[in-house]
Amino acid sequence: MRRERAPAIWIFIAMDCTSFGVLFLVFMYERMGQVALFDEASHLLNAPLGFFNACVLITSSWLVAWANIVGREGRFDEARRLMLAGMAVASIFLIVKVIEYYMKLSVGITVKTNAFFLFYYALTGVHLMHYLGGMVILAILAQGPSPYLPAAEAKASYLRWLEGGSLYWHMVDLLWIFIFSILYLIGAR
Amino acid sequence: MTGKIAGARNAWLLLLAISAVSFLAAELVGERHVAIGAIMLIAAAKIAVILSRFMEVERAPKAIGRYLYGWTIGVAVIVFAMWWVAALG
Repeated sequence: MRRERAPAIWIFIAMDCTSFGVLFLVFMYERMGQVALFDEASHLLNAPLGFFNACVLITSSWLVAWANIVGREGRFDEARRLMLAGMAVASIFLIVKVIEYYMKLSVGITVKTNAFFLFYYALTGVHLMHYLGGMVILAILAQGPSPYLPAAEAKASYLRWLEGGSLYWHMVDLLWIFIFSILYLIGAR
Repeated sequence: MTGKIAGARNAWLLLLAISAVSFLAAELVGERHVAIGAIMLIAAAKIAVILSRFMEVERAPKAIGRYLYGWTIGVAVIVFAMWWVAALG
């Protein structure tokens, strides 16, 4: 199995996961002092919507992984189409997230409501920024190899970006798995 | 390469199935420590599947691959331990 030397994307992923890991532990530490409040507040979240969004990201991640596999075979048109499909599925996540935020804000649940919702908006908000960045990357990858570079250089460059962009998108997916488990499920009835 | 595509598809189906189990555990299992333990174990398992089947972490530098698996297990175990300590009051 070929190993990369030390591609920056892997270092970025390791550092980003570490940052989120610290946030998860700070959340759990705060929860230890206010268990009843955190569990009560967690019941106000819509776990089925969180679960649905987890399935959306997993499906999108699968399509992106598939695009990466066919891209390595040089089937760039198929990779482009799969990237578009991955983006289309992933866009559902944003719609659901906006609905969820609207449902909370419309009943006066804001970042100031209590410590739980401060963490809720912080964790899901930072994750949403990662998601939006990932959607931009997927949109660029869905364009295919650059027409402005010589063909061989364009293909090599596209493959590097395809691999790096895919890895970033999978990280967005795996971070949501922990966020969903910790925010939505731990305090569920 | 076809095998890799089939592997990714199987991983996707597995992830959807165990996500459903995790969600149901949170809703239906009466013993909270069992439910929370199952939720964190399944979360770690799902991330391990994503790391190995979608991200092909074996292609990363060995130290980073080990770190990411360690991070996954570490977060799951510490979250469960902190939940347990809080539950003991």
